[in-house]
Amino acid sequence: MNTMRRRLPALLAALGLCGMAVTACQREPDGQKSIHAERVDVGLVTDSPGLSFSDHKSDPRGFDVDLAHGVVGHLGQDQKAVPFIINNVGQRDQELLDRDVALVVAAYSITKARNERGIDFAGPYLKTDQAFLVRPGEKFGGDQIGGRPVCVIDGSTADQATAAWALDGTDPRVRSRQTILSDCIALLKEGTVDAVFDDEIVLYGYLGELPEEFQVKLPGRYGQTQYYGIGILGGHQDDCRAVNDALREYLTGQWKTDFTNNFDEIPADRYASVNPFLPDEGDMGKLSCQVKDEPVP
Amino acid sequence: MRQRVHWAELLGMLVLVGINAWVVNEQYGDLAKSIALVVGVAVTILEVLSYFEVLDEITGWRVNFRQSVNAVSIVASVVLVCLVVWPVVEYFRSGDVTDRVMLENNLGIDPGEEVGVRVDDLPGDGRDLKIAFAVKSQNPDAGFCEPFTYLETTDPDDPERGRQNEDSNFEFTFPTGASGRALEFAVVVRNENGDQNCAVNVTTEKAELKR
Repeated sequence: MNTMRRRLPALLAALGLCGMAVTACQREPDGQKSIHAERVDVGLVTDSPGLSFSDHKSDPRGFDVDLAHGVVGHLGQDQKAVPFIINNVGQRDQELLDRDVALVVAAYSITKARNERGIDFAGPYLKTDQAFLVRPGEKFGGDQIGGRPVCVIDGSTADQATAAWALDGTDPRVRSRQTILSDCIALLKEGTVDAVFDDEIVLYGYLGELPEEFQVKLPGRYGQTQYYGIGILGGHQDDCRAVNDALREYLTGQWKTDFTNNFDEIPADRYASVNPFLPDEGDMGKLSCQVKDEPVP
Repeated sequence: MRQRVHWAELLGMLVLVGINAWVVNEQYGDLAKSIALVVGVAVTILEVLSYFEVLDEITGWRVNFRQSVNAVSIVASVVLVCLVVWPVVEYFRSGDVTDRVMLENNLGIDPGEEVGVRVDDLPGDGRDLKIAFAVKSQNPDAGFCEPFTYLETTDPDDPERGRQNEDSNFEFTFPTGASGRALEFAVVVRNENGDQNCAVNVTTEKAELKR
């Protein structure tokens, strides 16, 4: 009986601790960013004119930036997107996995491999083929493409797509992998490489900055269609669906205006009747909110 | 001395039961059926022993003769029903023939390309063959191909579409009384968004032969 008396307070204390633990689990863990906060931290990579660019003196601007503000605005009346600058595209996964940001809007392609790493996506909000950026007047296509030196961003989906390129001289060869696209552009300017291979929309963004210096070539058989999504940590499917709902409002409203304003170098006949860069509802159903479990921190 | 002989008899019978279980399991590969048979046989042996009062002598239990006979009858009936019903169930059950489906040129297939499918020497009397294929992006780091990929058979009169996780099933019916059952056909990889570079690997998820 005495033993029982001694154990009772300890038991009650333990029960109390358990109760506190359960209550704590219902809240966002400390430091984790949420889409329900008044200020929603949105990861952006600012080295891509047209999509998202900053000279570090002014605020970032571009399609991704407009979209981030638009979608967060549709999430809640009092909510505001706060840009969180990610150094380069290679760090997007880690910023989400580290819970440093609630969302990532940074030319972030939806891939199965990212889903498997615990990164989920709302969207897509934009789709794009992959293409080559070359010097004006450069003959690059068909027979002239074999063995030509090409630059890609290290670890990007464009880089991954080059894995299928043959090494028998009939296909282009990756001669340089850079961390940021502007370094690839510099190599193209100085003639070290003959082309930069990346998403068509990214290359058109650069063309907007330097229209006289480059041209975009759609190569047809190289690269895959990319679907840009809004990155969100896996295991938060309700949040993901809420972002989808906000995105739907944006896609049927402001999307067209923001697209035209930010990509004025894309020939108008490219989207005269149907805009190939605009995803449809079916794409959203197949690609978004797929990750059920939250990755372990 | 007398008891030792009985224990030896019991041990011998248990060994026989073990051999029986091993044979049944090897032949049918079905553990549940084996266990049912073994239990049935073991109970029967015990009942027979009790009938001859051997069990009574060993254990000191008093077993009623009439109850023993009833129990033996019930167990024998259950075993008999199992033996009769099981082959019937087996006959109508689908046979897994996944390992009989051979694929050719099935890795890194771009949209528009064909995968050769050959199915030889199907066992049993099945008529309806159902094959489910699985599609996986060849390079999951480069994009997302699976949701937009579907398969078609090469028969232009009866193209069937399949999509991973939905209805990637193809059904074929062999004519009644066919002497041999084998198939050779091709499936074409398609991409509904027209992405010509979405290469996929095609594998057989499951193939069943139904009667």
